[in-house]
Amino acid sequence: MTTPPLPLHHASQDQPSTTPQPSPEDYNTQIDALLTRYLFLLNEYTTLRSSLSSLQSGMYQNLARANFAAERGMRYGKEYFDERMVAGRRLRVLPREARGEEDIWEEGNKDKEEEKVLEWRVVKVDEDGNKVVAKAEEKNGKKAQDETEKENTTQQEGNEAKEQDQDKQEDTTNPETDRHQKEDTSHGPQQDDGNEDAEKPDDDDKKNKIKKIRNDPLRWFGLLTPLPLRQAQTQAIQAVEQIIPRLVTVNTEMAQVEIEVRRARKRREKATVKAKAVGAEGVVGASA
Amino acid sequence: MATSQADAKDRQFLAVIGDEDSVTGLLLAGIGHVTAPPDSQKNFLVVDNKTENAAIEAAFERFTTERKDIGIILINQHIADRIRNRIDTYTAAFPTVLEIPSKDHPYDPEKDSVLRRVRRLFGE
Repeated sequence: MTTPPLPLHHASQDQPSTTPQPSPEDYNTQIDALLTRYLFLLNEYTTLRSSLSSLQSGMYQNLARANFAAERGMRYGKEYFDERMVAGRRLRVLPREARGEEDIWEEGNKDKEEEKVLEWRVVKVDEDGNKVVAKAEEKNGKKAQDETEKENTTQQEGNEAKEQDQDKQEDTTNPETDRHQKEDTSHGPQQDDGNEDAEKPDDDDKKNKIKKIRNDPLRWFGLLTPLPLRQAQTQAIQAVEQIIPRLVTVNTEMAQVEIEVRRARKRREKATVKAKAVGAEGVVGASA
Repeated sequence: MATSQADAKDRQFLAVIGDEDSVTGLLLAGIGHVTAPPDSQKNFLVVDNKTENAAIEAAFERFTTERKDIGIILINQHIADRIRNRIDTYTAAFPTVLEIPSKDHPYDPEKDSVLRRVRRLFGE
Protein backbone atom coordinates (compact mmCIF):
# COMPACT_ATOMS: atom_id res chain seq x y z
CA MET A 1 0.00 0.00 0.00
CA THR A 2 1.37 3.37 -0.91
CA THR A 3 0.90 6.72 0.66
CA PRO A 4 -0.82 9.17 -1.65
CA PRO A 5 1.45 12.07 -2.58
CA LEU A 6 0.51 15.50 -1.44
CA PRO A 7 -1.47 17.69 -3.80
CA LEU A 8 0.89 20.28 -5.16
CA HIS A 9 -1.56 23.15 -5.61
CA HIS A 10 -2.73 23.91 -2.15
CA ALA A 11 -1.04 27.17 -1.20
CA SER A 12 -3.41 29.95 -0.34
CA GLN A 13 -3.41 33.02 -2.48
CA ASP A 14 -2.07 35.11 0.40
CA GLN A 15 1.24 33.30 0.09
CA PRO A 16 3.13 34.43 -2.97
CA SER A 17 5.93 31.89 -2.39
CA THR A 18 7.08 29.68 -5.29
CA THR A 19 7.43 26.54 -3.14
CA PRO A 20 3.96 25.75 -1.85
CA GLN A 21 3.73 24.69 1.81
CA PRO A 22 1.54 21.69 2.67
CA SER A 23 -1.43 22.56 4.85
CA PRO A 24 -2.31 20.71 8.10
CA GLU A 25 -5.12 18.88 6.23
CA ASP A 26 -2.62 17.45 3.79
CA TYR A 27 -0.61 16.11 6.68
CA ASN A 28 -3.80 14.64 8.13
CA THR A 29 -4.39 12.74 4.90
CA GLN A 30 -0.85 11.45 4.95
CA ILE A 31 -1.03 10.40 8.59
CA ASP A 32 -4.31 8.58 7.93
CA ALA A 33 -2.77 6.71 5.03
CA LEU A 34 0.24 5.77 7.17
CA LEU A 35 -1.97 4.59 10.01
CA THR A 36 -4.06 2.49 7.64
CA ARG A 37 -0.91 0.80 6.46
CA TYR A 38 0.19 0.39 10.05
CA LEU A 39 -3.08 -1.36 10.92
CA PHE A 40 -2.68 -3.75 8.00
CA LEU A 41 0.79 -4.59 9.28
CA LEU A 42 -0.54 -5.00 12.81
CA ASN A 43 -3.18 -7.39 11.52
CA GLU A 44 -0.52 -9.45 9.77
CA TYR A 45 1.63 -9.38 12.90
CA THR A 46 -1.15 -10.76 15.13
CA THR A 47 -2.03 -13.44 12.56
CA LEU A 48 1.60 -14.50 12.36
CA ARG A 49 1.83 -14.49 16.15
CA SER A 50 -1.12 -16.84 16.49
CA SER A 51 0.22 -19.22 13.85
CA LEU A 52 3.61 -19.21 15.58
CA SER A 53 1.90 -20.04 18.88
CA SER A 54 -0.05 -22.93 17.40
CA LEU A 55 2.98 -24.30 15.54
CA GLN A 56 5.08 -24.15 18.66
CA SER A 57 2.48 -25.76 20.88
CA GLY A 58 2.23 -28.58 18.32
CA MET A 59 5.99 -28.90 18.42
CA TYR A 60 6.04 -29.08 22.22
CA GLN A 61 3.29 -31.72 22.21
CA ASN A 62 5.19 -33.84 19.73
CA LEU A 63 8.40 -33.51 21.74
CA ALA A 64 6.51 -34.56 24.86
CA ARG A 65 5.06 -37.53 22.98
CA ALA A 66 8.50 -38.57 21.76
CA ASN A 67 9.90 -38.28 25.29
CA PHE A 68 6.97 -40.22 26.75
CA ALA A 69 7.47 -43.12 24.36
CA ALA A 70 11.26 -43.09 24.66
CA GLU A 71 13.27 -45.66 26.57
CA ARG A 72 13.64 -45.13 30.25
CA GLY A 73 16.06 -42.37 31.06
CA MET A 74 16.18 -41.16 27.46
CA ARG A 75 15.19 -37.58 26.84
CA TYR A 76 15.37 -35.82 23.50
CA GLY A 77 17.28 -32.81 24.68
CA LYS A 78 20.59 -31.08 25.19
CA GLU A 79 22.52 -34.20 26.16
CA TYR A 80 22.31 -35.45 22.58
CA PHE A 81 23.24 -32.20 20.84
CA ASP A 82 26.18 -32.56 18.50
CA GLU A 83 28.96 -30.26 19.70
CA ARG A 84 30.14 -29.72 16.11
CA MET A 85 26.78 -28.78 14.68
CA VAL A 86 26.64 -26.60 11.58
CA ALA A 87 23.60 -24.49 10.81
CA GLY A 88 21.59 -25.92 7.92
CA ARG A 89 19.17 -23.03 7.87
CA ARG A 90 20.55 -19.53 7.80
CA LEU A 91 19.37 -15.99 7.63
CA ARG A 92 19.47 -13.72 4.59
CA VAL A 93 18.76 -10.05 5.16
CA LEU A 94 18.04 -8.22 1.92
CA PRO A 95 17.26 -4.56 1.48
CA ARG A 96 13.95 -4.10 -0.23
CA GLU A 97 12.95 -0.87 -1.92
CA ALA A 98 10.07 0.52 0.06
CA ARG A 99 7.49 2.74 -1.53
CA GLY A 100 9.11 4.67 -4.33
CA GLU A 101 7.63 8.11 -4.66
CA GLU A 102 5.94 9.19 -1.48
CA ASP A 103 8.95 10.99 -0.15
CA ILE A 104 8.52 14.24 -1.97
CA TRP A 105 8.50 15.98 1.38
CA GLU A 106 10.86 18.78 2.20
CA GLU A 107 13.51 16.80 4.04
CA GLY A 108 12.34 13.49 2.72
CA ASN A 109 15.00 12.80 0.16
CA LYS A 110 17.96 13.10 2.44
CA ASP A 111 16.66 10.12 4.43
CA LYS A 112 16.14 8.00 1.37
CA GLU A 113 18.61 5.41 2.63
CA GLU A 114 16.50 4.98 5.72
CA GLU A 115 13.36 4.33 3.75
CA LYS A 116 14.65 1.01 2.52
CA VAL A 117 12.89 -1.75 4.39
CA LEU A 118 14.87 -4.86 5.13
CA GLU A 119 13.44 -8.23 4.26
CA TRP A 120 14.42 -11.22 6.36
CA ARG A 121 14.47 -14.73 4.99
CA VAL A 122 15.61 -18.08 6.29
CA VAL A 123 17.00 -20.37 3.62
CA LYS A 124 18.28 -23.91 3.60
CA VAL A 125 22.03 -24.05 3.09
CA ASP A 126 24.73 -26.71 2.81
CA GLU A 127 27.65 -27.02 5.20
CA ASP A 128 29.63 -24.31 3.45
CA GLY A 129 26.77 -21.87 3.76
CA ASN A 130 25.70 -22.03 0.10
CA LYS A 131 22.02 -21.96 -0.69
CA VAL A 132 20.62 -25.38 -1.51
CA VAL A 133 18.67 -25.52 -4.78
CA ALA A 134 16.22 -28.35 -5.27
CA LYS A 135 17.41 -31.00 -7.72
CA ALA A 136 14.41 -30.99 -10.06
CA GLU A 137 14.76 -27.26 -10.56
CA GLU A 138 18.45 -27.59 -11.36
CA LYS A 139 17.76 -30.19 -14.03
CA ASN A 140 14.97 -28.27 -15.66
CA GLY A 141 17.08 -25.14 -15.61
CA LYS A 142 14.30 -23.19 -13.97
CA LYS A 143 14.92 -20.17 -11.86
CA ALA A 144 14.89 -21.05 -8.17
CA GLN A 145 11.95 -19.27 -6.68
CA ASP A 146 11.84 -19.17 -2.96
CA GLU A 147 8.31 -20.36 -2.54
CA THR A 148 8.69 -23.44 -4.68
CA GLU A 149 11.93 -24.13 -2.92
CA LYS A 150 10.24 -24.04 0.42
CA GLU A 151 7.56 -26.40 -0.84
CA ASN A 152 10.21 -28.76 -2.12
CA THR A 153 12.07 -28.79 1.15
CA THR A 154 8.94 -29.45 3.16
CA GLN A 155 7.95 -32.17 0.73
CA GLN A 156 11.38 -33.67 1.04
CA GLU A 157 11.04 -33.71 4.78
CA GLY A 158 7.68 -35.41 4.44
CA ASN A 159 9.05 -38.00 2.03
CA GLU A 160 11.96 -38.69 4.31
CA ALA A 161 9.59 -39.20 7.19
CA LYS A 162 7.49 -41.61 5.12
CA GLU A 163 10.51 -43.58 4.04
CA GLN A 164 11.75 -43.81 7.56
CA ASP A 165 8.31 -44.98 8.62
CA GLN A 166 8.39 -47.73 6.07
CA ASP A 167 11.85 -48.68 7.17
CA LYS A 168 10.70 -48.88 10.71
CA GLN A 169 7.70 -51.01 9.86
CA GLU A 170 9.85 -53.42 7.90
CA ASP A 171 12.26 -53.34 10.75
CA THR A 172 9.73 -54.57 13.25
CA THR A 173 7.91 -57.08 11.02
CA ASN A 174 10.62 -58.82 9.10
CA PRO A 175 13.74 -60.03 10.90
CA GLU A 176 15.54 -60.71 7.61
CA THR A 177 15.19 -57.16 6.43
CA ASP A 178 16.23 -56.15 9.89
CA ARG A 179 19.51 -57.95 9.47
CA HIS A 180 19.84 -56.64 5.96
CA GLN A 181 19.33 -53.10 7.19
CA LYS A 182 21.83 -53.43 9.94
CA GLU A 183 24.40 -54.44 7.35
CA ASP A 184 23.38 -51.44 5.33
CA THR A 185 23.79 -49.05 8.20
CA SER A 186 27.18 -50.50 8.99
CA HIS A 187 28.27 -49.48 5.50
CA GLY A 188 27.33 -45.92 6.10
CA PRO A 189 24.45 -43.59 6.62
CA GLN A 190 24.03 -42.83 2.92
CA GLN A 191 22.21 -46.13 2.49
CA ASP A 192 19.50 -45.07 4.86
CA ASP A 193 16.97 -43.90 2.34
CA GLY A 194 16.27 -44.82 -1.22
CA ASN A 195 17.82 -48.31 -0.97
CA GLU A 196 14.94 -49.70 -3.04
CA ASP A 197 16.16 -47.88 -6.13
CA ALA A 198 17.52 -50.11 -8.86
CA GLU A 199 19.56 -47.34 -10.42
CA LYS A 200 22.86 -46.41 -8.90
CA PRO A 201 23.01 -42.74 -8.02
CA ASP A 202 25.87 -40.58 -9.25
CA ASP A 203 28.83 -39.82 -7.05
CA ASP A 204 27.65 -36.25 -6.62
CA ASP A 205 24.26 -37.44 -5.49
CA LYS A 206 25.89 -39.76 -2.99
CA LYS A 207 28.05 -37.00 -1.60
CA ASN A 208 25.06 -34.72 -1.33
CA LYS A 209 23.12 -37.38 0.51
CA ILE A 210 25.93 -37.98 2.95
CA LYS A 211 26.17 -34.24 3.57
CA LYS A 212 22.42 -33.92 3.94
CA ILE A 213 22.20 -36.77 6.42
CA ARG A 214 25.21 -35.59 8.39
CA ASN A 215 23.66 -32.17 8.56
CA ASP A 216 20.24 -33.38 9.72
CA PRO A 217 19.86 -32.70 13.45
CA LEU A 218 17.52 -35.70 13.74
CA ARG A 219 20.63 -37.90 13.47
CA TRP A 220 21.84 -36.68 16.88
CA PHE A 221 19.11 -38.80 18.35
CA GLY A 222 19.87 -41.97 16.39
CA LEU A 223 19.15 -43.45 13.00
CA LEU A 224 15.57 -44.48 13.56
CA THR A 225 13.85 -41.61 15.28
CA PRO A 226 10.23 -41.75 16.45
CA LEU A 227 7.50 -40.22 14.32
CA PRO A 228 6.52 -37.48 16.85
CA LEU A 229 10.11 -36.22 16.84
CA ARG A 230 10.06 -35.95 13.06
CA GLN A 231 6.72 -34.18 13.22
CA ALA A 232 8.18 -31.76 15.76
CA GLN A 233 11.01 -31.13 13.32
CA THR A 234 8.60 -30.40 10.46
CA GLN A 235 6.71 -27.89 12.61
CA ALA A 236 9.90 -26.24 13.79
CA ILE A 237 11.10 -25.90 10.19
CA GLN A 238 7.82 -24.29 9.22
CA ALA A 239 8.11 -21.82 12.10
CA VAL A 240 11.73 -20.99 11.34
CA GLU A 241 11.35 -20.73 7.55
CA GLN A 242 7.99 -19.10 7.17
CA ILE A 243 6.76 -17.43 10.35
CA ILE A 244 9.78 -16.05 12.22
CA PRO A 245 11.44 -14.18 9.31
CA ARG A 246 8.09 -12.70 8.28
CA LEU A 247 7.39 -11.62 11.87
CA VAL A 248 10.73 -9.84 12.04
CA THR A 249 10.16 -8.19 8.65
CA VAL A 250 6.71 -6.94 9.69
CA ASN A 251 8.17 -5.70 12.97
CA THR A 252 10.86 -3.69 11.16
CA GLU A 253 8.30 -2.32 8.74
CA MET A 254 6.02 -1.29 11.61
CA ALA A 255 8.90 0.49 13.33
CA GLN A 256 9.59 2.33 10.08
CA VAL A 257 5.96 3.46 9.76
CA GLU A 258 5.96 4.59 13.41
CA ILE A 259 8.89 6.89 12.65
CA GLU A 260 7.11 8.26 9.58
CA VAL A 261 3.89 8.87 11.55
CA ARG A 262 5.76 10.73 14.29
CA ARG A 263 7.62 12.78 11.71
CA ALA A 264 4.38 13.68 9.91
CA ARG A 265 2.70 14.59 13.21
CA LYS A 266 5.52 16.98 14.06
CA ARG A 267 5.30 18.61 10.65
CA ARG A 268 1.53 18.92 11.03
CA GLU A 269 2.03 20.74 14.33
CA LYS A 270 4.49 23.11 12.71
CA ALA A 271 2.12 23.69 9.79
CA THR A 272 -0.77 24.39 12.17
CA VAL A 273 1.28 26.96 14.09
CA LYS A 274 2.32 28.58 10.80
CA ALA A 275 -1.25 28.65 9.49
CA LYS A 276 -2.45 30.25 12.73
CA ALA A 277 0.31 32.88 12.55
CA VAL A 278 -0.58 33.68 8.94
CA GLY A 279 -4.27 33.89 9.89
CA ALA A 280 -3.53 36.29 12.77
CA GLU A 281 -1.39 38.47 10.49
CA GLY A 282 -4.24 38.57 8.01
CA VAL A 283 -6.71 39.66 10.71
CA VAL A 284 -4.32 42.33 11.97
CA GLY A 285 -3.73 43.57 8.41
CA ALA A 286 -7.50 43.74 7.68
CA SER A 287 -8.31 45.62 10.91
CA ALA A 288 -5.52 48.12 10.23
CA MET B 1 21.48 2.98 8.45
CA ALA B 2 23.62 2.44 5.38
CA THR B 3 26.33 0.88 7.52
CA SER B 4 23.83 -1.31 9.29
CA GLN B 5 22.61 -2.61 5.95
CA ALA B 6 26.12 -3.66 5.03
CA ASP B 7 26.37 -5.12 8.50
CA ALA B 8 23.21 -7.14 7.87
CA LYS B 9 24.83 -9.24 5.14
CA ASP B 10 27.11 -11.00 7.61
CA ARG B 11 24.35 -11.77 10.04
CA GLN B 12 23.37 -15.25 9.00
CA PHE B 13 22.51 -17.07 12.21
CA LEU B 14 19.51 -17.20 14.48
CA ALA B 15 20.35 -17.47 18.18
CA VAL B 16 18.11 -19.04 20.83
CA ILE B 17 17.85 -18.47 24.56
CA GLY B 18 15.21 -20.80 25.87
CA ASP B 19 14.16 -23.79 27.91
CA GLU B 20 15.31 -27.22 26.84
CA ASP B 21 12.28 -28.07 24.71
CA SER B 22 12.30 -24.74 22.87
CA VAL B 23 15.99 -25.03 22.09
CA THR B 24 15.68 -28.69 21.07
CA GLY B 25 12.78 -27.93 18.74
CA LEU B 26 14.46 -24.98 17.08
CA LEU B 27 17.76 -26.81 16.77
CA LEU B 28 15.88 -29.66 15.07
CA ALA B 29 15.02 -27.11 12.39
CA GLY B 30 18.74 -26.73 11.75
CA ILE B 31 19.57 -23.32 13.16
CA GLY B 32 22.10 -24.53 15.72
CA HIS B 33 25.71 -23.64 15.01
CA VAL B 34 28.97 -24.08 16.87
CA THR B 35 31.91 -22.11 15.53
CA ALA B 36 35.21 -23.80 14.73
CA PRO B 37 37.47 -24.66 17.67
CA PRO B 38 39.25 -23.40 19.76
CA ASP B 39 36.46 -20.80 20.17
CA SER B 40 33.58 -23.26 19.78
CA GLN B 41 30.96 -20.62 20.42
CA LYS B 42 27.39 -21.82 20.49
CA ASN B 43 24.47 -19.77 19.21
CA PHE B 44 22.09 -21.13 21.83
CA LEU B 45 21.65 -21.24 25.58
CA VAL B 46 19.53 -23.79 27.41
CA VAL B 47 18.00 -22.18 30.47
CA ASP B 48 16.63 -24.20 33.38
CA ASN B 49 15.65 -23.38 36.96
CA LYS B 50 19.26 -23.44 38.05
CA THR B 51 20.47 -20.97 35.43
CA GLU B 52 21.21 -17.63 37.01
CA ASN B 53 19.97 -14.36 35.57
CA ALA B 54 23.59 -13.23 35.20
CA ALA B 55 24.25 -16.15 32.84
CA ILE B 56 21.20 -15.26 30.73
CA GLU B 57 22.25 -11.65 30.62
CA ALA B 58 25.80 -12.62 29.67
CA ALA B 59 24.50 -14.76 26.80
CA PHE B 60 22.24 -11.93 25.64
CA GLU B 61 25.18 -9.55 25.79
CA ARG B 62 27.35 -11.97 23.84
CA PHE B 63 24.74 -12.46 21.10
CA THR B 64 23.93 -8.76 20.78
CA THR B 65 27.27 -7.01 21.09
CA GLU B 66 30.17 -9.43 20.76
CA ARG B 67 29.00 -11.60 17.91
CA LYS B 68 28.54 -9.96 14.55
CA ASP B 69 27.08 -12.98 12.79
CA ILE B 70 23.71 -13.18 14.56
CA GLY B 71 20.67 -11.58 12.95
CA ILE B 72 17.76 -12.70 15.13
CA ILE B 73 17.70 -13.64 18.80
CA LEU B 74 14.78 -15.85 19.76
CA ILE B 75 14.09 -15.78 23.48
CA ASN B 76 11.31 -17.38 25.50
CA GLN B 77 9.01 -14.71 26.84
CA HIS B 78 9.25 -15.96 30.42
CA ILE B 79 13.04 -15.90 30.20
CA ALA B 80 12.96 -12.40 28.71
CA ASP B 81 10.96 -11.41 31.81
CA ARG B 82 13.94 -12.38 33.94
CA ILE B 83 16.11 -9.81 32.15
CA ARG B 84 13.24 -7.50 31.20
CA ASN B 85 15.14 -4.31 31.90
CA ARG B 86 17.99 -5.36 29.62
CA ILE B 87 15.54 -6.35 26.85
CA ASP B 88 13.49 -3.16 27.08
CA THR B 89 16.53 -0.92 26.91
CA TYR B 90 17.89 -2.78 23.89
CA THR B 91 17.13 -0.67 20.83
CA ALA B 92 19.68 -1.65 18.19
CA ALA B 93 18.40 -2.77 14.79
CA PHE B 94 20.76 -5.75 14.64
CA PRO B 95 20.28 -8.32 15.90
CA THR B 96 16.52 -8.22 16.26
CA VAL B 97 15.06 -9.74 19.41
CA LEU B 98 11.90 -11.82 19.06
CA GLU B 99 10.10 -13.16 22.10
CA ILE B 100 8.53 -16.56 21.57
CA PRO B 101 6.18 -18.64 23.72
CA SER B 102 7.38 -21.70 25.63
CA LYS B 103 5.75 -24.95 26.69
CA ASP B 104 4.62 -23.77 30.11
CA HIS B 105 4.18 -20.10 29.31
CA PRO B 106 1.90 -19.26 26.39
CA TYR B 107 2.38 -16.03 24.47
CA ASP B 108 1.18 -13.00 26.45
CA PRO B 109 0.29 -10.00 24.24
CA GLU B 110 0.51 -7.68 27.27
CA LYS B 111 4.26 -8.22 27.42
CA ASP B 112 4.85 -8.03 23.68
CA SER B 113 7.14 -5.08 22.97
CA VAL B 114 5.61 -4.55 19.51
CA LEU B 115 2.06 -4.29 20.87
CA ARG B 116 3.30 -1.92 23.56
CA ARG B 117 4.75 0.24 20.82
CA VAL B 118 1.37 0.17 19.07
CA ARG B 119 -0.36 1.38 22.21
CA ARG B 120 2.17 4.15 22.59
CA LEU B 121 1.63 5.30 19.00
CA PHE B 122 -2.14 5.48 19.37
CA GLY B 123 -2.07 6.74 22.93
CA GLU B 124 -0.04 9.82 22.19
